[in-house]
Amino acid sequence: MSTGEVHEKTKRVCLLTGAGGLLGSEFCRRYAGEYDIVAVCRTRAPAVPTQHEQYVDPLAPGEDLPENRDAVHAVYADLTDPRDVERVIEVALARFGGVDILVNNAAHLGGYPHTMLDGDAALHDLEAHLLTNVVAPFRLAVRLAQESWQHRAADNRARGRNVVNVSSLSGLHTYPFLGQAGYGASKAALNALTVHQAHEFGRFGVRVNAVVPDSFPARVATSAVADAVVHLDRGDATGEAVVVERPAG
Amino acid sequence: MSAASGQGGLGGLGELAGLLAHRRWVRRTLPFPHVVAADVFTDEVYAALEADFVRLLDGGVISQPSGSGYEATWARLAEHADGPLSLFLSRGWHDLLAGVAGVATTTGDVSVGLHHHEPGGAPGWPHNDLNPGWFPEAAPGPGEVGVDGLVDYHRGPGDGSPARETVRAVSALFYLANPSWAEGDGGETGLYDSVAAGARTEGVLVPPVNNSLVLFECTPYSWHAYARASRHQRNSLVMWLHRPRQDVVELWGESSVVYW
Repeated sequence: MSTGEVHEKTKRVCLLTGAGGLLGSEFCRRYAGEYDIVAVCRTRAPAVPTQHEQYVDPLAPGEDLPENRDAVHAVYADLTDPRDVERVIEVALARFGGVDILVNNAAHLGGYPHTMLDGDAALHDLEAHLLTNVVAPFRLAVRLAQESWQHRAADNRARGRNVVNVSSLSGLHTYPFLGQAGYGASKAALNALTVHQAHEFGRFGVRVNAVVPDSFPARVATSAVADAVVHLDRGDATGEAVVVERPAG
Repeated sequence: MSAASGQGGLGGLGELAGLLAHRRWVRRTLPFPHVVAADVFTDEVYAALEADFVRLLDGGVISQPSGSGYEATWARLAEHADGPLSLFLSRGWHDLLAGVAGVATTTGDVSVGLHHHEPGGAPGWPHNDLNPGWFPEAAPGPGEVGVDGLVDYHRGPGDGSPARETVRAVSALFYLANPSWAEGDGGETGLYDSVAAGARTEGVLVPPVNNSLVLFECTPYSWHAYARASRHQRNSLVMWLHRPRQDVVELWGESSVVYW
């Protein structure tokens, strides 16, 4: 008779999307020592050691370098393709046996320069905004819950399992004439999704929150956004939207 | 010139330590195993290497047509190794490249070319460098290097006199004396997982950034090419280490050797 899941690992397992981007790379740089990271990338790998890319000392090429010990596990995927979402989850579960935190960071940013009436530019981008910024995080969280979390409530609570959606102030506020209608709508939808998931995932002990940053690195430090994600992971909040803004003054 | 011992005054790895800017190069497995490094040498050492290259370029030395269909000119370093560039013909440098590439059976024979592409030169085609290289019969000792050009490097002596046939074991390319590079300037070295990928320029592109290098073990699958025309002139040192031909035959079979 099993006494429940035994976790001998000391590192928490983090499934991070958008890992090759600014925030993804920063998260990996700061926290690869603390988490086993499944780094989901579209085309760019994060700027840290991975299973495909490691440091070597040219004068001692056989030496085991400390920087390589926390290599992240990179997975290339197009998260707008449902089959890739399934594959990413399969890889994460096969590699680490479970996921403690899902960070939905991948985002489509594109804006339009001359209002949404200027040809089809805004309409064309809208699909990418919704698929990447809403549908992909929705699907990832649901599939991960179905595959791994749904029937492990006690274990989820013991390990503080949670989802952090990286949203944007553009989902809370309107910044007119910056070409953000599609992007802002997608982030507003992500905020709504976060609250719904917080309620529904709460049944099996998984918390769901959002980080809502101002633009980084222009107005807030990318590291502050990464830290906010980890702060949520370490806490017990659920259904919250944590704003990361430039300090007043 | 006979087999040269420590031409750059560098007989071992330890003597290179003070010349390198740092000891964190990057080993990648895709599209095939290779190593890249930025800021290879200290600023002072790099400046001396660049000045030596410019001296040879401005002196008209690097002017021999490549002869292999590439729109480039070149010169054999072993014939002009009277300055700082002789570092690349040292045993220490040879051993460093062999160690990083993970090839334990190199012979000590090196071939180093100074390459110059004019702006707009046509791109090349994917090749794997698993080619023969011929050297004099007497192999270099453990602290020595043997250099190319003493017998016909491609086909060996035409008169049947004794010589050693080796096969290229490690390829390395070091960029120097180039204008500042920016995305879109071209001139990259492309690394590919297949000839077909190379034809589509779908692979890893290593840009011609000064004081950086790329190196890899030559295998039947180390497909690479001068990927696309450069907006500026493009200057580099290309280097090959060598291994006994029998090694290659045992590893990948007789048919893997690509004869000139």
